[in-house]
Amino acid sequence: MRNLLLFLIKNKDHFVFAVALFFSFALLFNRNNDEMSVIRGFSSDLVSFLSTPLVKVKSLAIVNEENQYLREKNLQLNLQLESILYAADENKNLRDLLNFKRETRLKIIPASIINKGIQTNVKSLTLDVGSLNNIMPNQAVLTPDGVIGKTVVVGKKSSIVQSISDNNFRLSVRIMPSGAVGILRWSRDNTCRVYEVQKNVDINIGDRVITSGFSNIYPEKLPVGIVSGVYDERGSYQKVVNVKIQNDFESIQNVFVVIENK
Amino acid sequence: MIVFQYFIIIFVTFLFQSWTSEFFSLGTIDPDFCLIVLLYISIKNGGLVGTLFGFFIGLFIDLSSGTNQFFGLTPLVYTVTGYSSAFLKGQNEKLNKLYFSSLWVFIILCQFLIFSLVVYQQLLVDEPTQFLIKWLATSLYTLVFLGILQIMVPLYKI
Repeated sequence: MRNLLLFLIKNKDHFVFAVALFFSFALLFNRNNDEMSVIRGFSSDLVSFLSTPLVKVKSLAIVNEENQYLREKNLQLNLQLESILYAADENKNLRDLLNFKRETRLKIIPASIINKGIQTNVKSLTLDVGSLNNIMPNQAVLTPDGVIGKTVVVGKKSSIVQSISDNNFRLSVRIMPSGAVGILRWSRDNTCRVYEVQKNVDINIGDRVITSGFSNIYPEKLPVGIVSGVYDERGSYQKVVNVKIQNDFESIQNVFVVIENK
Repeated sequence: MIVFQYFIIIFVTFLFQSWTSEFFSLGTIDPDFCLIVLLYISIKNGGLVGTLFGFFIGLFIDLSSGTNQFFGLTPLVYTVTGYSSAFLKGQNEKLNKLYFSSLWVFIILCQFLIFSLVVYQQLLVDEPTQFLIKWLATSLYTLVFLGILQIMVPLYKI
């Protein structure tokens, strides 16, 4: 027994190697043992606990990079969102135009505004249609929201429109439901004023303003705007009516030209 | 006390391996820092310590991240490596530097070969060239780190 012990001590390296090999093979061949699974589960929890600080350090290390990436991504998404919103608005406007064209009894031609305000003395718009499209001077130009002007100069492929926002623009209108008529001219900030309205007529804020049809240019009952204020003129038998124009002149892109108003 | 000291080394080596392997990873090839430490400890302290160190660090690795398919393989391979590299203890006085270095390079190549033969046996059957590339790439990547260490702490002089 003593000799065996001495032998083992003398050859402890080889003995330990044999034992380690034995255990290694034992592990290898018992890897699917249930008890082994329990031990591995426990060790997995332990390793997970030990790895936690590393995960935190790593997350701190990449936080700047991630932040930069997210900023770029955010910018890209914002740009995409803007593009989508713009497309949605454009889609809505075009649908409105299409519906208007289907519903109206007027003979109209669609046109796009290609420029605004070429002439200095006239508030004008330039359209991409001209005489080749049967456009002539003094034809009404409108959108589904209302009248925006009339053609004044017509070329072969383009025409200039005197805008309702021009100071020299006049339009005969009727205020509904009272039926009072007057002459509309531009004031400021998308607001026009209707003059020559009788004082005894009952007009309220929110009343609709439409074309009267007294003009050869504008067919009757075209929308113009909504009453936003009524004022009595001192020393006069008339009142002044403020009209809010529904069109936003800054954003109009597509219009219609009325080529036949019968 | 010595046992405790070695367990601390095992623990630190394991942490270093798990924390830095991702940083040094080249695709699917990672350097084996545990093997490098095992080699140093075996050559410096001999067979008993090398074998036990190899067994326990292999066990630690398998318990933490080894797949169920090859559980027990890492302690087996590291035990063999620890045991065989321990034969180089004190041999630096008898062998010349080139011969000594060739031996520990050979041990490492064998270690990775055994490991690859078990883990990538299917690859060996299907694509022997890919198997060779995998084996040599894994071995050489660890040997590169070991080679850099030779400038600071040569195995020949420990």
